[in-house]
Amino acid sequence: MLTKELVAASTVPLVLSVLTRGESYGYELIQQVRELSAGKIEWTEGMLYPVLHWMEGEGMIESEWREAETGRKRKYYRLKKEGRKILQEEKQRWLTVHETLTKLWKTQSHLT
Amino acid sequence: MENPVAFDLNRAIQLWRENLASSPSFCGENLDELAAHLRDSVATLQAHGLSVDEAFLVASRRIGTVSSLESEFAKVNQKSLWLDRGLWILIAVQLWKIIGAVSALAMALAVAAAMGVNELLPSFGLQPISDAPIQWGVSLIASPLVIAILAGLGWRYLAWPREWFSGVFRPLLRRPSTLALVLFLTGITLSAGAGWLLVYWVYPILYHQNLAGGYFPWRNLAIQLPGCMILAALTFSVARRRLRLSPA
Repeated sequence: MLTKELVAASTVPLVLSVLTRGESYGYELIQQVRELSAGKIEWTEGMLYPVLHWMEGEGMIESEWREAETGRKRKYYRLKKEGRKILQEEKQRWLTVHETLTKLWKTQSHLT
Repeated sequence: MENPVAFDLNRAIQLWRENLASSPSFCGENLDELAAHLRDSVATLQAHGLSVDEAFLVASRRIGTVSSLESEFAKVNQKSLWLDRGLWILIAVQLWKIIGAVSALAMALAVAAAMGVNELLPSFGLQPISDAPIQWGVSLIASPLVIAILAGLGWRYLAWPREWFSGVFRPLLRRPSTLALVLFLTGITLSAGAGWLLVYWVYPILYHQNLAGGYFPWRNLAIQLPGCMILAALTFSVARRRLRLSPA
């Protein structure tokens, strides 16, 4: 399980990355992240929506209410240009942390 | 064992939604989105073999508690929260004016009662009460603070003020023009009427002061009108903006 701080820090890059695969709605986003992380990243479901609305306000994503094939209305989110830009920056940051830790752990194999 | 009362998912979701709707942290769209999520979640859990009421229980737990959702949504809905607070402040200011006017009406009633008592006392061979205690008594009875305390006690111990509030007043919040008009008309009628009553009837009897001479009868209305109009216009615009942001 991730710590609360790590969950908060990783939500934006995770959402942006999932949305590069195409538009999606809140419930599906949560399901995808849960599956991809094999259940290790577990969000308190309702908490995702304020983040999505904040991201929309920042111009990273846009949303639209549409009727699904089941006849139920859902709010779909789509990536915007600004979102792609921010995802690139986020990617750099996370890779930097990842690479540094990996190098350290390779040289100090007793830690792993 | 079979549940004697069939579980109604639509009703359960509606109740869950209404519970959240009482908080200004959510706008109507937020609630639509959360309810759609809840339905998806229930459907998935049912597909995994849970009964509909079990699925609802698990889904509503996974989505988060009211207080945790409230605090997270409040962060992104700051604007509608401030509009909500602003609207209540405006309503409170207008209610305070109305309480002030009610206190003047109470004063008139108290004076009428005191006069009646004073007329009766001699027939029982008693001295009429002198002016000073009457003046004190009347001002005490009619003090806006006393009226506010009485209103507070009524709110606490009687059922109908609360029923009136949720049945009549709360729905008005969703109709900005009616809300502003009702507050304006009540405020202006009561405060202008009360002022007129004080000057022409209460003060002359109570303090033997005749202020009415040279007193323009519509003066009170003229003084109260601009303030009441500004308050009504502000109430209308804040209530309308608030409604646009949260049609919940």
